Amino acid sequence: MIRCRRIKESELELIMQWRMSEEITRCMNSDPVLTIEGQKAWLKQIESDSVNRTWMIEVDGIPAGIMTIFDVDTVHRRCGWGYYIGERSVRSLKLALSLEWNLYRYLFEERLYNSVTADVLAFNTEVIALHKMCGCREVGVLKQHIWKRGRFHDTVLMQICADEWRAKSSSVSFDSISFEEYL
Amino acid sequence: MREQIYAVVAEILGVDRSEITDSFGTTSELWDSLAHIRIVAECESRCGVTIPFDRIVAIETVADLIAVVEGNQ
Repeated sequence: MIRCRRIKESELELIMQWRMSEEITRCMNSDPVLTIEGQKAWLKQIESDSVNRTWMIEVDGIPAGIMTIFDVDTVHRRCGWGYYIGERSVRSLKLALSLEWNLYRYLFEERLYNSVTADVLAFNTEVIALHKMCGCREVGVLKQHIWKRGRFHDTVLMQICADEWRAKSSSVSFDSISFEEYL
Repeated sequence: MREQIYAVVAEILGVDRSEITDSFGTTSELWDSLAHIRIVAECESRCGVTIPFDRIVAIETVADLIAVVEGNQ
């Protein structure tokens, strides 16, 4: 069973290790140097945030990765999102598709959002392909948008709207994943 | 064809060709979602085929991959 639930303080060390690992950080916009004190402050900020959400992805009881929605705009009903899987043993195309489709189902069908965007470093062509498989369009390229490891990188902006999700969702099937609400 | 696909899988996963068998597949930690997409794209390019989405998702082993590529030629 897969679910997205609140992060526990006891998981902060694990999350810190994931986020600073080369295999995760090489495809992220930043290469942070994290501390457990900083992680505790980050968790407090997550728990007090009334609009943006960050969840632990749990697969068969194992903490597996982090999913986040950010830049939530409740007027225009849109947000950005991203995730990573830190637990290598559960990584698969099926999990990736299931997570992305479930996030769209949750945002468009439960939360009634209208637009969801993702930005991906242009060299990360597999993730761009993955988003397209899930129904996203490539909006365009933000040239030299991210400074990382001594040079600027292009970013590909991707989007899916509620009407596009409705069309896509009728052609795919997937088991439902729950998203725990923060109080 | 079979040898070509074995070579693609070994190259992308960074393992020795001798480790690749028909039953090798997604149960390996190396064969994650991004490797899956890279393997399919490389097989499409080298073998001149286009694999439908539902078949891409269904691939779990090298044997499945070979069957899908051969079936779409």
